[in-house]
Amino acid sequence: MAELVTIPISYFELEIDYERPDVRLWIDRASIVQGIFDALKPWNPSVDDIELRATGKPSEQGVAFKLPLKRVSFFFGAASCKFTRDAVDWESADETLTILDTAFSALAKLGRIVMGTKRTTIGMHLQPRTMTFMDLLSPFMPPQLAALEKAPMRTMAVVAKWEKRKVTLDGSAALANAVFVKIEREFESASAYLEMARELRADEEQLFRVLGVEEDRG
Amino acid sequence: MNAYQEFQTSGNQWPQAVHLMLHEEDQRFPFSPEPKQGRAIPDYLEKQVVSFGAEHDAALNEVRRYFVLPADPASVLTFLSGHRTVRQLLLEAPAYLKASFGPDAVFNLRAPIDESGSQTLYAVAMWPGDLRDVRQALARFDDAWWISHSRQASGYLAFTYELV
Repeated sequence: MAELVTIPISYFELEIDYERPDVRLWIDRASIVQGIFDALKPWNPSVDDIELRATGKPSEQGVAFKLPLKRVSFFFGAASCKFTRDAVDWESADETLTILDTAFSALAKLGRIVMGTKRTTIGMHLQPRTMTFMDLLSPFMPPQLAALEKAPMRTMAVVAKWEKRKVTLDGSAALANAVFVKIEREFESASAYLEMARELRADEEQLFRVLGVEEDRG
Repeated sequence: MNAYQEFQTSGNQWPQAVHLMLHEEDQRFPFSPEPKQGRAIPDYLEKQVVSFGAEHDAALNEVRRYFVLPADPASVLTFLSGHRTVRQLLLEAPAYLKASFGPDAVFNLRAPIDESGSQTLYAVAMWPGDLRDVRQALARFDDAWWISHSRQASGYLAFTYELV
């Protein structure tokens, strides 16, 4: 029987590199910022929630919008853009897709940007109700490594990478007795958001089965 | 406890939820003062309260690193908002708890309201071993730290165990 887990912390990210960097997005960006701000109006953005990032590497500089009530942030620079939402779940997936589609579409249209490959990430901290986090993780430890010491292992991590997919399992650094799970998948630029969401959900369900856990929605 | 050095959150710092009035963190009797109508709240005071709120949120994140909150954490979070000393004690306790109960022990937090209407926060060791061992661990913890600090909790915090 699957172990019931709660997911107190979760986030979703979608990062897209442009087909080619466009430095106009640094210099001539007032109309783009205004356009994105207007497009996000249904979610009540505030001018105070716009942040101009002028530090870091040139590729990290740009403009970030925040929608605090939705825990959404959207950043665009000269080479890429990134959408993040905290406290995500599948019940709010439609809303998440609507907001990200609004933000990306406004940027693509106003900045005349051609979007490239889409990189998605889902991060979750799973807190088991009865087991310890090591009970969930230890089946993924090769016995040869586990046998290096007689003492029980305190924690461990596993990272598996494929051409367009990556899975990370780790102990949580943010919660007591919790497992951190990160699911990353890369999509072609033409992929539809809904199709991406379906595939990510299938990834999550598959990984939960492998871990032997089920979300406690009680 | 993590093994792989990597960011595990989005990195966004979200402001605390804005209440009707910024100084009303908790509206339950007797912890919140009555707002006085017509009294202007100085700008600096609001900023100070927001800063206290951010500090409290950061402390709660620390508490979550050491203690497992219930699936619906509202009762515990509200309790900790109204009992800041208890929150501080929870942040000091883990080193002594680990030393007494072992590094892998899991502690749950619960804040039930008893029949008389009063509320106490329980830090419960979920103990898979036998009763004698957990009693000895609790006694070690009491002697090493809790007896000398329990007065600060004013009876609002208790450490106990549950056999699982």
